[in-house]
Amino acid sequence: MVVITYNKNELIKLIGKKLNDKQLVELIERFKTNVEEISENEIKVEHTSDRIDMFSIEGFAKTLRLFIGLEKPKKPKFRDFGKSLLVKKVKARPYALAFVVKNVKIDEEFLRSLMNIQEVLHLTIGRKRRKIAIGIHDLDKISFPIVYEEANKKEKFTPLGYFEEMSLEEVFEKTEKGKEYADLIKKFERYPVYRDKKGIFSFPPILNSERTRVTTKTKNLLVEVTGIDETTVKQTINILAFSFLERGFKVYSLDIKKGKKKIKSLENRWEKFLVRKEEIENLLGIKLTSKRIVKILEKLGYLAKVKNNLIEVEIPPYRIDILHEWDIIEDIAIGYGYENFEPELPNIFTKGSLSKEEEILNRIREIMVGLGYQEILTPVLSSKEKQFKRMGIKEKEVVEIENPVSNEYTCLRISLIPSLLYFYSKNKHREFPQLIFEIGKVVHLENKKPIEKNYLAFGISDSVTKFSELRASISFLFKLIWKKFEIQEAKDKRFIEGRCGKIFVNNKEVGIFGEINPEILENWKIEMPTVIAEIDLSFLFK
Amino acid sequence: MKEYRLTEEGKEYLEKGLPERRLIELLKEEPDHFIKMEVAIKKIKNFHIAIKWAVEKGWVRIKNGGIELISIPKEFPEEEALKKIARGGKVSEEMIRILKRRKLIEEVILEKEELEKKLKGKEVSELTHQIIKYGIWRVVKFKKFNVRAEGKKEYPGKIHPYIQLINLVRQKLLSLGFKEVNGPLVELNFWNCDALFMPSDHPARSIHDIFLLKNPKFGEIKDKKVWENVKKAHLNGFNTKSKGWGFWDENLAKRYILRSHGTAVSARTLAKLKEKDLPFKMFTIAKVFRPDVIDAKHFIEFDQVEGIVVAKNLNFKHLLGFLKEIAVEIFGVKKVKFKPSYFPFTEPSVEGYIWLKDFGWTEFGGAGIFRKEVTYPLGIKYPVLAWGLGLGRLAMQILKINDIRYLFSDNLDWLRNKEVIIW
Repeated sequence: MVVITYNKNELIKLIGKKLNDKQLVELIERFKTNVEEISENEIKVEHTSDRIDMFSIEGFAKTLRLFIGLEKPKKPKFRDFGKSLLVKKVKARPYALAFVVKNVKIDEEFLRSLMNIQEVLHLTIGRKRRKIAIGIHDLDKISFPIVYEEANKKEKFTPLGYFEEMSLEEVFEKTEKGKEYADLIKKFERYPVYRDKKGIFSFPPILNSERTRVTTKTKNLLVEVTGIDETTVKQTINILAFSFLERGFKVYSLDIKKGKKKIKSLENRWEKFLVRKEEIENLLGIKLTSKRIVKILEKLGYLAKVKNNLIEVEIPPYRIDILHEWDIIEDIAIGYGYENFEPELPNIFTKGSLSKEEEILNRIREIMVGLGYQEILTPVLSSKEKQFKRMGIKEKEVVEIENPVSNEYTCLRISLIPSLLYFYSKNKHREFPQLIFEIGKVVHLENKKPIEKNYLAFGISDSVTKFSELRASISFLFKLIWKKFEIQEAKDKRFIEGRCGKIFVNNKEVGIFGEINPEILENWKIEMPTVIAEIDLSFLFK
Repeated sequence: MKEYRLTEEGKEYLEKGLPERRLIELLKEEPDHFIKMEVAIKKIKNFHIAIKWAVEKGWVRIKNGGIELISIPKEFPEEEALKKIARGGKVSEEMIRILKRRKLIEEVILEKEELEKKLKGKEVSELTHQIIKYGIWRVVKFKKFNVRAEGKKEYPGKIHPYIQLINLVRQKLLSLGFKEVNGPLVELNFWNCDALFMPSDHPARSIHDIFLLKNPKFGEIKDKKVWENVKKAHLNGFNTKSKGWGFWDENLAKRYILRSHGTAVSARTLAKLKEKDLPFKMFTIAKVFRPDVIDAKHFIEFDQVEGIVVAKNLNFKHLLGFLKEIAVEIFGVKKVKFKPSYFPFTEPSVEGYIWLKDFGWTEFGGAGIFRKEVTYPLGIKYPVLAWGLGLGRLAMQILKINDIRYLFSDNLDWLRNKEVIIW
């Protein structure tokens, strides 16, 4: 999700029709976009990450204008600028494209929207400038011919927003953007630059030059995109070129020379898709005439014509989200209006069932509740500190997170006993006795494989030890679940010596119980005698 | 009208003092009011009784393997009571209960005639076994009870409110003919993302959206065919006529993560689905994890309800039909509306809204038809309707809470006093 704030009046002006707030919101919400806030001057819109072409105010307005029929889609003409960009071998970012925009009128508002769209494209399709980076320059400050190539680290230029010359290397140290994006290219021997007769005028993906700064006095623009992925660079250049066209500016293609190849930077290639009427009916469950389908597709900005039972659809180059016939059919559904679909249940019969595992756990819950224990719920996420250190036991391998957001949650729990003790430590001033239980997942790591198990733990904390009550609960529980069990005396640091037992079913250890060692109670700052039993319920699911 | 007399133990304490008195006196003599456990055990007869009562009354505490005196009692009411009872006097009901519990007194059981003579025409407060058995209730009056008195507070065990809610949702989905399925918490990126056609560099796969594991780091996908198919779907669309993404990061797909959405369970289920299982409807209540800020609306561990419907000839209208039915059944609302949405794995995609009196139109879940790039590689040739709901909002609404952290509440009073769900 990407949230973008637009100048509302600018948006309405670009749409080209007077709309009140209600109408505007209604129109926007016919798409995947949602309006988060609307005020006198601003509108805050939540976009989905597939429709990157709608992020710019121009692209957004175009989509809305086409939808209300103020414009019919047509293929624009990109003229030839007649000059070229030479793209040499650049290891760090091999792909580069650029185009020219002439006779622009730039006011503060437009300048801001230019900055906004660069920023949001860098963040989204650019994956924080890794995949692509955009530079927009004052064309009249550039002397052709221009070349995109590798430069020596020591070469100098004046970065945008700075007043001194610095070497490319120094840019990493001395500028904010340099620090932020250094990781993207610093590891390479030589760095990517754009160069004209006067020297370096852009250092992608870090900074443009002060020399080619765009101001409200700028008349003509050079827009360049560099990146590590050819398709993404092309997609970005198309989205930008169409945005400028939308403003009514003239957009010119450059000749891109790369090795022996020579291409136009703006190919204006509208990909053809054949959409089957039958597939539309099958997927959407509605019957539409070919004429209606074409009309809807035009509202969504496609060029479409009927070919027998097929619709030939031409996709605007900025619609980079279209991968498959179904993507176009979804747009037909949007054009048709989701509110016009009659929800319907299919004529099929299926038998419902509940997971046996969950149902067995529910039976255990009922028994525990009957015994007077209150159910508690705690996170599966835990920390080694809670699982081992505070329990006084030796650390072992656990499922551990690489990117935790808090010291409290860095691994998955292997036992529920810390969960119960944590709970007791938080309830020192509530009425005693406190009988609690939890049924939950623990995850062990065995031979580098995660093993998930359902555990039950229950405890009694009171002013006097309730060992015998706990022991009685164990017997009762096993009786009610049809299981014979045996108890063996056990030694475990978590429990007072001589007051700890292990539980066995069919000679397999399934649990442990006892009175918690005062040393452990102290670790958790618990001041009441506490007895706990923990049982691995896996034996119930075999 | 009961009568009591001292037991042997009661007589002994009347004579020699209660064990806890002896413990307190011993402690008083110690310089720092502290005594080692072993020493106390040796010196005090009936030590376990002494310590139990001294702790319960808050006179001493156990510390560093010994006993510490924390407050010196002014009197020992039990001793006074024993004296009174020995003289045939009366003590409070509460004291009777305590002395009976300590087995220091016992009830004197009178013969029928004796009892009848004693009680006839009198007002009794307690109806006893003997009064019923001997028919004496015919000749006595019963003392009036205060029916307005609150009575003694009790905390019965209860099922956690959130589990009650989850069970409610499970019952509702059962009634709609869905089969419950489970999947692992520790998941492979492959099932969580790649099998769902999320490109390797999709923003929702970043470290800000998914918990990657440091240990274990990599796993294997056993079904090599599915592995190859998914790879092709990413590279060139497999046999779906899709363009695909043109790239795929194989190593990323092998990484272990914590499941970030319930849809991973749907992907696993589809991979195992056979023709004979159709038509098929499943749901899962999946615990999921996301590296989010922790506040009133977000926790890094929460649950999602997800489901799929697989059958021949399903379409978008059926998707809306199911989504509406589920909303009506679970949320108990009448009005539902839909709007376009985006999920990387469905096309078309839809967001569902319900009308709530207090909140207006409220989003309750998302749905869509799985893309062919998702279903074909898993061997499914039929349309798959997929839907998902967040439980958080439902929980907040039904349990009347305004902070999601209540679902993991560490407040025992809240859990003890929280009303049961009636929905």
